[in-house]
Amino acid sequence: MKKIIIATLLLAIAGPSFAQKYMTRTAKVSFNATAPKSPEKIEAVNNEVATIIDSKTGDIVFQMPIKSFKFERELMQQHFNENYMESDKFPKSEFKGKITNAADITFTKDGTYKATVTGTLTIHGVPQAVTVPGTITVKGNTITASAKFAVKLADYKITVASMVADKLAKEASITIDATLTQK
Amino acid sequence: MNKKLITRIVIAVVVVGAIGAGVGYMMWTKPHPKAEDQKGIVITTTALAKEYATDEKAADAKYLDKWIEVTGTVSETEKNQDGGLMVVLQTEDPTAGVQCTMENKDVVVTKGENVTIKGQCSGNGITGISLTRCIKSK
Repeated sequence: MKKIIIATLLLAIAGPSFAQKYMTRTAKVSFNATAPKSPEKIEAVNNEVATIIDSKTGDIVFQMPIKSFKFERELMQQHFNENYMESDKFPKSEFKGKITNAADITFTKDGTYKATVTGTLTIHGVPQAVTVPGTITVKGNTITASAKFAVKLADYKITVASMVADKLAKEASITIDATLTQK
Repeated sequence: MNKKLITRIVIAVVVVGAIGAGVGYMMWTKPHPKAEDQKGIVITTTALAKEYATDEKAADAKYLDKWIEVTGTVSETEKNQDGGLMVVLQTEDPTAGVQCTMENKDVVVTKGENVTIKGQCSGNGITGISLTRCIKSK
């Protein structure tokens, strides 16, 4: 009971500052790492990406469980997890950063805004500094954040076996699509 | 070399090749695992969340990639970008739900309902523990 009272009080105090937080558990991240001449498509989708944006500070976090990437072929998914991402060792990937031009985005006014996001992207346990251009669309109390960019597999110490070098591209193109609601 | 031997070698090569191709084809077309065929580790959402909160590494060693059957109360549902359904089960920690992405998007659950869901664990994150390829078993 005491715990509930304390929790309620804490929530009441923190309440007003919560209003600037937007969140989703179901953002979508997909990637395509198909080499130009590959007969098979090497692509996957993850619909379980947690995203939090603080409209006041511009803080932005994406976090995704690697094992929730879905491939058309089970074998490819297995290889992705075991040989490339080593998802038993590194079960999640994460981006933590800031919308550097958050001041230019009016989160209370409907519209589409260009955003620049700078921060640290961690894949396969390797953190790298990245800056990515994206778009933020405000509609009522939901915002949609989207971005498309490329990552070099070698930057994240993901080694490609020579056997599949003609199928797997050296760079993966990543698409992010998140619809967040105010919390 | 006599003809018989050559014929035998040719047949052997063809048979070995056919077996190899067959195995390769079976691996290549291997279906995704189904929750229906799996025996899940039975646990409550609260107990699972506690284990993850106490020691994530130890909990991962026990649950990551494993099939789990959790029982808990539905706190909310979220439609994903592809029309799929995520059912969030509450734990004692309001910031750490058990997030179950359902294999069948037409499953009906209501907020406050007590359910048992079986799915494959993808680990812990900032908004909770993820289970994927889930089915409602009760």
